[in-house]
Amino acid sequence: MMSNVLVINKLKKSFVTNHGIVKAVNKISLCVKENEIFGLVGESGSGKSTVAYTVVGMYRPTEGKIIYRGKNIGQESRKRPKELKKDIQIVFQNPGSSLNPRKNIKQILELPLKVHNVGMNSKSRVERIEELLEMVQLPPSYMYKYPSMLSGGEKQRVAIARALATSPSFVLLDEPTASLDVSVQAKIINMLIQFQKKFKLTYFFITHDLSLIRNVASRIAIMYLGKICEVAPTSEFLRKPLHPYTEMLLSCIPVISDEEEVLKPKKVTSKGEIPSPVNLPPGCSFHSRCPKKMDICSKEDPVMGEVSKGHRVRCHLYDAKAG
Amino acid sequence: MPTPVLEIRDLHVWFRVFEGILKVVNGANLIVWPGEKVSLVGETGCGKSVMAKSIMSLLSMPPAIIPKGKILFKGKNILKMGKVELQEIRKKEISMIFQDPVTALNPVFTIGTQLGDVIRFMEGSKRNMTRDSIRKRAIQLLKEVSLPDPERILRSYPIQLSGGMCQRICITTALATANELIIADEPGTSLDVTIQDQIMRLLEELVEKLGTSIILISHALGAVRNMTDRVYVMYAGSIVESAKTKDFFAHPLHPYSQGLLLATPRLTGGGIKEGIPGDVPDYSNPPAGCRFYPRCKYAMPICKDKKPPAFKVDEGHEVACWLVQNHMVTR
Amino acid sequence: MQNKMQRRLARTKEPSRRWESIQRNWYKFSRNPLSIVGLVLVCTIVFIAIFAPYISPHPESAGKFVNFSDTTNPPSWAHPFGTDRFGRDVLTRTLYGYRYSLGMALMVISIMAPTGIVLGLVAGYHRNTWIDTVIMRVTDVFIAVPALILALAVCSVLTPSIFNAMLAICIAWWPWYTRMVYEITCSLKNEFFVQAAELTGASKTHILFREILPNCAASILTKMSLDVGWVILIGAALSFVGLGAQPPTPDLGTLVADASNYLPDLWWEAVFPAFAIMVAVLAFNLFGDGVDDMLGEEKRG
Repeated sequence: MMSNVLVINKLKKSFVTNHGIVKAVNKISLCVKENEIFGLVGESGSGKSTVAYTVVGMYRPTEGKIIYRGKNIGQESRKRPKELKKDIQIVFQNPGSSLNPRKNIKQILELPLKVHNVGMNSKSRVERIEELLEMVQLPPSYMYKYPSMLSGGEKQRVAIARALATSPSFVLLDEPTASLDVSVQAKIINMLIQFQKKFKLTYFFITHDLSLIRNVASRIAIMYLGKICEVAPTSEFLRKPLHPYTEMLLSCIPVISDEEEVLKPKKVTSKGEIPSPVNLPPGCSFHSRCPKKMDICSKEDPVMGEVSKGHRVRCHLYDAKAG
Repeated sequence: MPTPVLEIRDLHVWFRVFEGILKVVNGANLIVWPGEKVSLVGETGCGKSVMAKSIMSLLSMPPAIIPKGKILFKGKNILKMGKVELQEIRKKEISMIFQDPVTALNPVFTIGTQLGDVIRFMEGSKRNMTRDSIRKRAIQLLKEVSLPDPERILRSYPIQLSGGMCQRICITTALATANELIIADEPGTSLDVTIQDQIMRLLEELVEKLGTSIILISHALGAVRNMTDRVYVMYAGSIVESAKTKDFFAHPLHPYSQGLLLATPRLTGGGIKEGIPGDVPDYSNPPAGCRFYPRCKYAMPICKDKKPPAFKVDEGHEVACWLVQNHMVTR
Repeated sequence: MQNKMQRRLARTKEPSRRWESIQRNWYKFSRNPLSIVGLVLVCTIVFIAIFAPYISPHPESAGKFVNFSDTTNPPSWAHPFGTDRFGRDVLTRTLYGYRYSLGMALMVISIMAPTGIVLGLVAGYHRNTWIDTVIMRVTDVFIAVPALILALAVCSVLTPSIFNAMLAICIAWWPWYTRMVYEITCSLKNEFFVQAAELTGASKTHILFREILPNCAASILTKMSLDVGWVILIGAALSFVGLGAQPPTPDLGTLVADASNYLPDLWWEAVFPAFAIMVAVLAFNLFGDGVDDMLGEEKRG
């Protein structure tokens, strides 16, 4: 029985904007087990990045608890103990903006080492940096280059090296390959999987690409407008998608072979636009686009229920079946 | 034999920069027939955007240089056209849809103002261009792409609209100013998957209805599979493979095309195969022969020295690779 | 598996990279020929300022000196810029004038720029807190008053001297740096690389000075280059009204002021120093443009 590394309990994060209160994360609960790759999938505005940023400490939760290895860590990173900052790392989406354009690679990778005293003097730090570059398959001469001289894939590799510099055990990956080409993505993903096995890491992988996550994660959760719609083991997900939004997502994925076409559920046309997160419709947040809408959907918000082992869904269609 | 709408012959595009001269586009060939839907697939840095911009003459000529090649639009060379002729073409014949719809629209003007500008530009200086008739035309354009509540949209600024709506506006503008050819540069990339699906299907529908040809540029193979008739794969400045879409996905022949298909994650699972090793070549000092040579699994000595021409493998299927030389006829 | 040789080789490449980046910067700077003109002029002015005592034909003219036998001569071979009412060589006084003007400008900028920058960084980083409000409202007050007027006001309260003129300009000028750096800091604060540094646990000082400040460097250096010209001009204006350098100090503004009463008859006394001011401002403007080109955004091919 694998222990839970991360437990998120009824987490809420709201932002006050000029247009009103945006409930970016609206009461979600999930848990990530030791050594697994957990995938969080959602489109833009779903709140998936906000979840990651709250876990890592960029935001303070409005409500709810985040429990990491038994301790409640729901504070901003400034207030967190150093060991925690060392243990939880994040790789951001856009490598162009996650590396300081005015620092060279050596300085970028040196910072986490300096802060956490990994390597006592500058010589051993340089050695560690060379090790890290080697690990992500970049030549040591890259140390003195600036981010603008690197390609997207290389920049992202530097970001990964930076995340692994402190030897963390839990890494959040916020769409790490979203801006990269397919062939570069393949390299980076395989590298990440290798590291996960070698260093026994736990990954929290956020993406909008279901084809990608299907090959990477062992469990997947789908988010829509701040709430989780469905959580299931990967294979179960494809075999038996339950939530109408999941079906819609799966049916829209562009695929490159007929075998994959067969796997996709029947085409579900997505009607209308994604509602603004400030003006959420009452009841289920998906009902305005749902092809299987019932009367109750516009009045009452469904509750998450377990339909089969490890497979939870939040939809009125399954109210009766759920426990 | 009808004239192709667009024919690019042996195009070379170079850029003059600090490091020297970047020879980005290196002998690219492309044909689009009337009513055809063609896709141009390639990864970042292959030169597809440069090629698209040179069709529209959007490249700033220093630092860009076009030392060789022709771009024939209905038989006439765009590169040799004067400003007035180019304006006419941009007004009526060819237009482009850009990648990021929100930034493709001017943020400080309302949609109504921008559409009004386009309509006035299109119709020239006709006398009967009253504000009312322009507004009616604008609403008509918005209705063609199924945008709800066109009146409200005319009053809105681009930042107030979603990406999908902005892209629809760009599409309708492009369709209005293009009778012959649309170049769509990754139109769905910055949008969510469900919206992207909507937009692509809309584009397909409209293009079918109007009979316009379209060049769909993309770096993702999945996006082009359903929509286009033919695929052109571009690598490091030249076309390495061109085929009917069905043939391409069933039997990709060039090692790069195969590598791309292998690297794409599949819904069927099985992990992600190893990507293509190496990186895009340095354009200031590109390989002398085939530019894919340093990364190719099947590299042969001839590949290093001589650039392979496009060999005809089958009806409509050409591959620029020395591997196929033994079997097929040269172009 | 990389071997030790590869690593050692990589470490030696550092100096050659520095040279390459110098070359690259020169390439960017020299795109516009006017920038090179500016650079040449600036170098000339700096040279004059440093070596004025050695290159001026009559160094004694710079100080208390009278030679009533040689007064008010129009430009001639012996005195290319003529002599003034006291028989002093105008050329020498102009050359020395550069010394004072440039020296004053450099002193002012080296005092107020760091102050303004630090305040801007701190205010921008603590956006929407009381620190931000206090600093920026004070800055707003100072910006609201036109620089020259504020400098005049300060000067008129203190005894006129070149030192007090410098102080006055400092007081009038620092807010512009604060505001500029504040804007940049606010926009950079939410960039991922700053967040990444914060999440790793870097101290505030590190983030302000090692993460954010280098990204402001381009704007700051450009502004400093352009400001030298402005400060020279304002200093000259203060001297012109008698609130800056006092005679016989040959500050450019004082020179023009003294001689302006005698225009158009003794035109050479006023025209040459005024022209010198113009050249200085022009030089630093052109140079500043070149610096902007050099340090501006990287463009990708």
